[in-house]
Amino acid sequence: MSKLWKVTGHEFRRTAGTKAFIVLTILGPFLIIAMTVVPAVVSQRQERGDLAVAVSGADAAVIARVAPQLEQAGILLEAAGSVSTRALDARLLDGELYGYLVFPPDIQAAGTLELVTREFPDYRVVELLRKAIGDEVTDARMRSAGIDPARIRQLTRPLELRTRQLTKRGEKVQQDQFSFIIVGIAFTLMLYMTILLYGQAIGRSVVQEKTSKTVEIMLSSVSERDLLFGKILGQTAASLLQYAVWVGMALIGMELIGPLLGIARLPQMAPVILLFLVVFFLMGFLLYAALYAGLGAAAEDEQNLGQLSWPVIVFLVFPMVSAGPIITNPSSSFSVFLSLFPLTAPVVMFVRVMVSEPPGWQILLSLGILAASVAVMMLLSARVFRVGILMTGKRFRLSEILRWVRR
Amino acid sequence: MDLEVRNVRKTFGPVRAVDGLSFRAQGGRIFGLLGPNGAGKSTTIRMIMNIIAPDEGEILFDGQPIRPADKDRIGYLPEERGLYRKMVVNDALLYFASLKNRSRSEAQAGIDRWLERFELLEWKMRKVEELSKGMSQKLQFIVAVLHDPEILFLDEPFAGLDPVSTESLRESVLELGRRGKTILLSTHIMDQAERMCGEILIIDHGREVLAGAVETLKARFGRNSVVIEFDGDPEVVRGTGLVTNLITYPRWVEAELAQGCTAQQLLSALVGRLSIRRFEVMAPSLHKIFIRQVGAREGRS
Repeated sequence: MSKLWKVTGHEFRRTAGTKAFIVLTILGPFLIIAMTVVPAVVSQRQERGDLAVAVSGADAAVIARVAPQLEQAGILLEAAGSVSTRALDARLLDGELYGYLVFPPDIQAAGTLELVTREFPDYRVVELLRKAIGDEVTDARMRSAGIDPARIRQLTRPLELRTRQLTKRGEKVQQDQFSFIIVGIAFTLMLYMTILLYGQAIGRSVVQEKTSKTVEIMLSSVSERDLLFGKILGQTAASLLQYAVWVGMALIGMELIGPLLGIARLPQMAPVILLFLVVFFLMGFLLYAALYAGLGAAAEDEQNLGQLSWPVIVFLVFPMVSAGPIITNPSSSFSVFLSLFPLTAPVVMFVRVMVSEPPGWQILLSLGILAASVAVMMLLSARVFRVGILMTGKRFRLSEILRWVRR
Repeated sequence: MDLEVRNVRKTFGPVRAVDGLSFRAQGGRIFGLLGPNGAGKSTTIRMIMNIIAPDEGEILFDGQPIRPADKDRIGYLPEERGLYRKMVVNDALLYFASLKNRSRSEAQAGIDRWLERFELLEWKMRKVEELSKGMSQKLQFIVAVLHDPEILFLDEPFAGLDPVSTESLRESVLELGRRGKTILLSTHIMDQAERMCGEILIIDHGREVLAGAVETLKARFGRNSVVIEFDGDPEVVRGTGLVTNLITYPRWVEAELAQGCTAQQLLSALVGRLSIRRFEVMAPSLHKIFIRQVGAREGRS
């Protein structure tokens, strides 16, 4: 067994064998559920009671026609006749009312209605009121013009446009644009979070190794490459194990509780797409792991590492921000460039593969550039690590790092 | 395995840490690399260990530059001590031995033997971080020798050890020397060096001050040193005007006879003024030589 694998095994056990790691692996998904699903469910199910909204200056007949559907949504309309707004203000301040509506004298001609509330109005309430009363007013206008509203609705029914894409093999497939966007964003987020979580950890562990006094003994036994690569690989393996557990638990969880919450199942993915997902994820992870290792090697301490690593985050966020243009125009030169540039390639090329059929050579080129970047990045990190070891306690400028790299 | 260092230089910014050192360490003899703090001892050892690269010069193991496989035959006790703190002692030792390509069973036998020797057996299953400073230092020594290296580098091995531990460590090092290992030991404690080393190199400011076999050096500095043990004021000895380079200790002094003076003159000058318990004419101690040589250089610069 080569020394590289011994170091890898050691780093894997050192990371995955700690109590904190095991606890986090098992509890992680529950924490994530607690942080994401619970608030959503709570706010959805929150019992707010019915909201009383007084209506001033409206026809009783109009109120009677819109009241039932609003009542279903928890809004109780109350005809206030032509009571002065001052009286309504008093009731509003007393908390008897959620708000009151003021109808203009001729609603059909005016086209404006006013809602007065204490709090900033809930946009859902505003929208419900606007829709229900607006529909009613439109219908009334049509009726006064002698037109049957039902007939108009039937005639102005919107057209549905179905999309199908022709593949190279001549099939025409129908794909759901929306689920692409969801999967694309989910993948980007996944890579982003993983790298934030584990990339930093790898960087920290390199800083610790460098500043620990163990490093000289290690270097008297193994080469700096074996030490650093073993560290990256061991930690990557531990991270992926934790990640696999989480993804597995998430999938099981979605199967079990997804339907209860009304969350749709994951969109079905073709096996090829799934394969690309795994490959691009691994490549992306390794590249960023190597990058963080390099930063760890250059950093003076953990705090310094944080400062050095913000540019990395820019590269991570960039594809997320530009997801729109990439999904809508996957073959533009912008998208092609980002899918070849190593730091954005994992996300962008994957998204392109998913929404379009990029030329085979571009996919291969992207993978080739990624693989080469991983190798170069790891070698560079080892170099910086080597030179940085005995210089701990000194801040580094980029120019100095570049000088070591050239040496 | 022989070690040869040829005209090695290393500069850190404006500081010449090591400035053209050359020496040879051979099997079976303990080689002492001596010098005051900051003289360049650790830098030299780090260059030999290939942790930092020399700016100039060559470092040869059996006439060859170091190859990756050579690392398995080298043992190293760095000046900066520290082991993976969260690891269990036994696991840490097994891991380090495995990195030197020692089989598990071989390593385990060695671990038990060494732990017993340093009275650490009961700590075998404890975490490294629970050990006291002295114990971790002994553990560190075990890491350096566990794989039975042919060449051993010990950087300040006795720093921070109590007398009992110092003695058992010294015994172990001497025994390894008797078994033909090449041992390079750096220290600034001259008495230790004098009691252990066959050959020494004294450096200061990265440069050689003095080198050679301990016996030859002492002979070269002549038998004009006196050690006087007494009760009374050491200033009396200085006051005779018959000695130079006086080093005073609480109850004794070591001095050199001044040019043209004899031990007999000194003794008769002191009789009656001090209650003398020992009066010995001898070769100067390494400590004395060290102070004289390094001190003289300091004076010149």
